Amino acid sequence: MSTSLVSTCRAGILVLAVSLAGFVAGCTTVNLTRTPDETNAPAPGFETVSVGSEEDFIINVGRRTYFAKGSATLDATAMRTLDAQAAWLSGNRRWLVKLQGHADDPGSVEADRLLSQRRAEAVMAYLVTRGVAPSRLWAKGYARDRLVRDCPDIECKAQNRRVVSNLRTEKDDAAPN
Amino acid sequence: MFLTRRSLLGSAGALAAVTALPLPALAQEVASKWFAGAVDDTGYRYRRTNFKVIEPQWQRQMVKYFSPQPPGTIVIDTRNHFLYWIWENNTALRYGVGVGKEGFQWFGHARIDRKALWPRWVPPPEMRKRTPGLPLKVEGGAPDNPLGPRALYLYRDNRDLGYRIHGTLEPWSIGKDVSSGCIRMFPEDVIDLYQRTPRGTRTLVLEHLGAPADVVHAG
Repeated sequence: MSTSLVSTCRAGILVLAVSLAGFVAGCTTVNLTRTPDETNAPAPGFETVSVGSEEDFIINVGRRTYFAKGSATLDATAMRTLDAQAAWLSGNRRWLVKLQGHADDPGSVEADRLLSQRRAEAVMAYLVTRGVAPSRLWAKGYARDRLVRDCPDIECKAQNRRVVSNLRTEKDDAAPN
Repeated sequence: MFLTRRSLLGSAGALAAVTALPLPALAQEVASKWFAGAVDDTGYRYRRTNFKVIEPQWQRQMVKYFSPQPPGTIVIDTRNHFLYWIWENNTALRYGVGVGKEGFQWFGHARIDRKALWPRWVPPPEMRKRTPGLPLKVEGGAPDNPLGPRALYLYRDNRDLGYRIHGTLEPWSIGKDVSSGCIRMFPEDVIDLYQRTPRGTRTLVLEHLGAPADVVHAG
C-alpha cells in the first residue's frame, strides 16, 4: 500500500492540528501539512490529486470489483471497471498491480481461500485480455482475512466478495518471480 | 418506519427527477457552457459535464469522514447536498448531489436491492398533474430521460421505497434543492457510484432538519 494513504498508519501519534473530537488518527508521514481531523477535510494524500498517481486511480477509476455469492465470474459491471483500469494502466506504465482477492461465502474457510484466489486470477486474466502485460500483475487470495464488514447479512457479504487492484511499484513475496 | 408521502408512489413506484422539457433556443445556448461533448456508454450517450464550471465542493473527492457508520455503506446528507461512500480509516469518497422534493421526505436505513442501466422513467401521477404535458413514460437512454445513465433503487425489508439515486440532465442543479425527484448526481458520478456499490449496499439517508415532528425515525 502506498505510504501516502492513512491505512498503513496504525500508530497513534498525536499531531499538532488535532480534531475537535479528539481522534488520534495520524502517524508520521512525509506530508507535514495536516488538515484538521474533521468530516469533509481532505483525506490524507488527497489534498491535490495528480494525473497518473495512485490517488487518481482510486478516485477516477476505482480499485474494486465485486462478485456474486460463490462465484468467481466477472459480471458486466466488473468488466466495465476493469476496462477502465486497463486503459489507465496502459497510460501509466510505471505501475504494477497486485490483485487481492477476498471471499465471504458459504462453506469453509478453505473454500473461501480457493474462491478468493480464483477471483483474483479471474481479474488478472481479464486485464491481460485488455492489454495489460502479465509481468505487471500477480494475484493472491486472502479468504476472509480482510472483511470490510462482518455480519451475516448480504449488506456485509456483498462488500467482502471483491478483488482489489492494488497499485505497487515493486513485486512482493506473493509474486511468482 | 413511516413514509410521509406514501401517496406519491403510485403504481409505477418511480419518484424521479423533473423532466428536461425541450429548451427554447436561447436557453439552450446558455445551457451549453455546462457540457463538453458527449460520452458513449453501453449503447447510449450522455452529455459530458464541463467540470470547469462546477464549484469545487460539488466535485468528487476523498475526504475525512467521522461517523459511526461503517465502511462499505452510503450516507446521504440531503441538507448539505453530499453523498458519502464510506471507506476504512475514517475516509469517504464524497459526491455532490441535487435533492428533489421527494428526496427530503424520507430518512432512515435502506438497502440498494436493485440497480439499472439507462432506466425508463415513468412520472408519478402527482407530478403529471403538476406539470401538464409530461409524457406517460420516457424510454431508457432517451436524450430527455431525466434519470440519465444509472439508477440505484432503495429498498427496505424487500419493499421498494420509491427512493432513488440517479443521474441528471441538469448539472447546474447539483448542490441545490430542486422541485422534484430524489437524489440526483452528475452522470459521471452516478456511473462511478454504480460500479463501486454492489447490490445489497446499505444506505443511510440522514434526517433533513425541519422534518415534521411526528415522522418516526427508521433507526
